[in-house]
Order: sequence, then structure tokens, then C-alpha cells
Amino acid sequence: MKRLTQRSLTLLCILCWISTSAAELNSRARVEAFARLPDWSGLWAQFSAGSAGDPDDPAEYKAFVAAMMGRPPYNPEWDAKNRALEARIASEPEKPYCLWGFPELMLGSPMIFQAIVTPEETTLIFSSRETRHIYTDGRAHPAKDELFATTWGDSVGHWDGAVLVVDTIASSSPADRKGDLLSDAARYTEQIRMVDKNTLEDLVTVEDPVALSHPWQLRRQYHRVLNMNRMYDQVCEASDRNPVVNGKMTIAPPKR
Amino acid sequence: MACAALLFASAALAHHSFAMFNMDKPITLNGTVRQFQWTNPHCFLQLLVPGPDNGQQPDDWSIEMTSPGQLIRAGWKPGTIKPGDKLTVVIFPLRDGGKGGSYASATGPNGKIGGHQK
Repeated sequence: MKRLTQRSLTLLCILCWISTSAAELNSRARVEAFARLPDWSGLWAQFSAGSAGDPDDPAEYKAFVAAMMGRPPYNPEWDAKNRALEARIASEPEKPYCLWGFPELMLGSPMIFQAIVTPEETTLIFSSRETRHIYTDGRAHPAKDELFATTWGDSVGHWDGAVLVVDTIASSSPADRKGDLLSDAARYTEQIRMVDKNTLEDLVTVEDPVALSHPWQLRRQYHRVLNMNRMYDQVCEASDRNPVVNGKMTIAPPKR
Repeated sequence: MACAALLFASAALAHHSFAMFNMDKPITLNGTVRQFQWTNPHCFLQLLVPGPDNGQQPDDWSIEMTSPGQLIRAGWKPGTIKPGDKLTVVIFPLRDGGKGGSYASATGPNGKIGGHQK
């Protein structure tokens, strides 16, 4: 009788273990959904790295600056507002900044990023320790009375074949920057796709009926980082040697 | 959305703009590494450079580089340069006249350090 009880208990434990393990596994439907997604694994960066670690290809950087220096197609009212803000920023003491936010992370940042693609969400993790969550599980943006602006906005998306179509609203300038240059009505539509095994591309369309005279479209490409096997974060707050003296940033002398 | 015209133009350093550096007039320093500070958000190279009068006390130049992660991508390691190494370093100097600048390139006994990475 005692032996029978022991066997029963052992069998019960095995059944519990099998049951628990099965509960932890992905469903067949989820595995199949995952298998239909493109493989964006690895690390990506918009710019090549020169010997100094920053972009040093003069043609590439010149083209980048030229592209970014192009002004958004403002309507007259917002063009004036933008110029006033630029003048104010130029007159204020300089300060370091730690966050890029959206859309700068995609459009003009040298930060390296990792893309994690799952059926429910694509997550972009940047070396500046910023994260974009792009929900692809069919959810909508928060209702109007629950929506508030954040540094990275609210992004929902869907897959159109191998293209991730993203809709982002409610993005604001990071707190350490100095102003918003588009209105609260700004909306960003991205089409992110792999153009070859080492290149991701993002076609960004900016619509803002309050500030822009017409939609603004920008295309960016990100190259696979081939010589790094892990992410190295940039920690803005650590060991900062850039004090602001008399309104101008400089380099602090070394500590002995 | 942050200021496209001003903020995007300072993208390469990712922590502050280039405004403090004279990017039009790079200078070349020949010196000896006192310290290679492998830190976020910027690595720093402390380079002892003989003063103008070649006196006993060299100037201690603080040369700002990018972050460790970006440097690794460019082929650097924490031990790529060591105290005592003799280097020729090109920098964009501070506009305020301080002994410091933004790193552009370095050449050691074995040639240029770091390499272009796609």
C-alpha cells in the first residue's frame, strides 16, 4: 500500500511537471506567427564609424547634415515660431543632453540599436538606453482622455508582408531639450523593412496639419554592425567632464 | 518634435554639440599618454605634451573621445593605448583656449589607431 502511494505521488508530480512545462511553451499559433516575421536580429546603426568612433566619412556626414538642415515644410505661422525658438536656443547657455526621443532616434542619431521582433510587439532598444515599443497585437492608441505626450510617443503597427507599418502620435521633445517644433497634432507613419541582409530602411512620413503646409517625408537606412557581438550602453550621467562655464560648455581638467 | 535644424546637426557626439570646439582648425599634438579614461559618456585621453618652452612641466591635454561603445565599433579596446605610449594626436581644440579638444585621429608606432567600420 505504501509503495502504491509513493508511485501515485511520483506519477502525480510528473503529470504536474508536464502540465506546467506545457503551459510555459509557446502555442503552435504563436510559433507560426513568429515564423512569418522577418529576422531583424543583430545590431544596427545609421552611420558608419570612423577611427574616432563617430561618422568620419566626409561625404556621408555632409549629406546627413544637409538633409537634416533642411527645414520642415512649415506654414508661415510655424516657420516664424521655429525661427524664434532657434534664436532663443542660440542665446541660452548650452547644456548636455541625454535623450534623443522620437523621431530623432530614427532620423538623426548615431545610437546603435537592437530590434526584437515578436508577433505582439517590435521593440527597438537603443544604446542610449531608450526603448521604442511598437505594438503589433491589434491594439489601438490610448483613448483621448488617456493619451499624454511622452519622449518616444505611442506607437502601434501592423505587418504588411515584410514591412512594419508604424503609426506614432503623442511624441514630445525630451525634457532635457528646449522646445517642441511640431504641434500636438503631429503624426508619424513609418514603413520599416529590410532592403538586404545588412540594411534596414525606414521611410518616415510626418503629417501635422497645424504646423506643416504639406506632409514631410524622410528616408533613413541603418547598417548591420558587424564587429560587435553585444550592446554597449552609453551612460550619459556617468563621469561627466563637460561643465558649463559662463554659459559655454567646456572640458573639466583631469582629476589627479 | 525637437529642433531639427539645430539639434540634429550635433548628432555625432550624442551628448553635446561641437560648439565648444574649433572644428575648422585641427591641431596636431605629439606627446606621451598619461591616462586613457575608458568611461561613459565620453572616453578621455590625457596626453602629456611638452610646453612651448620645452620646460620641465609638460601640459596635460584632455582629449575628449566618443563613448566606449562607439569606440569599440571603430576597433578600439580599453587597452588599445596605455600610459607611456608615444602618440601623434590630431584634435579640434577648445575655443576657450583650454588644454583640451575633441579627438580626431591618433597615430602610434604601429600606424593609425582604429579603423573605418561600416
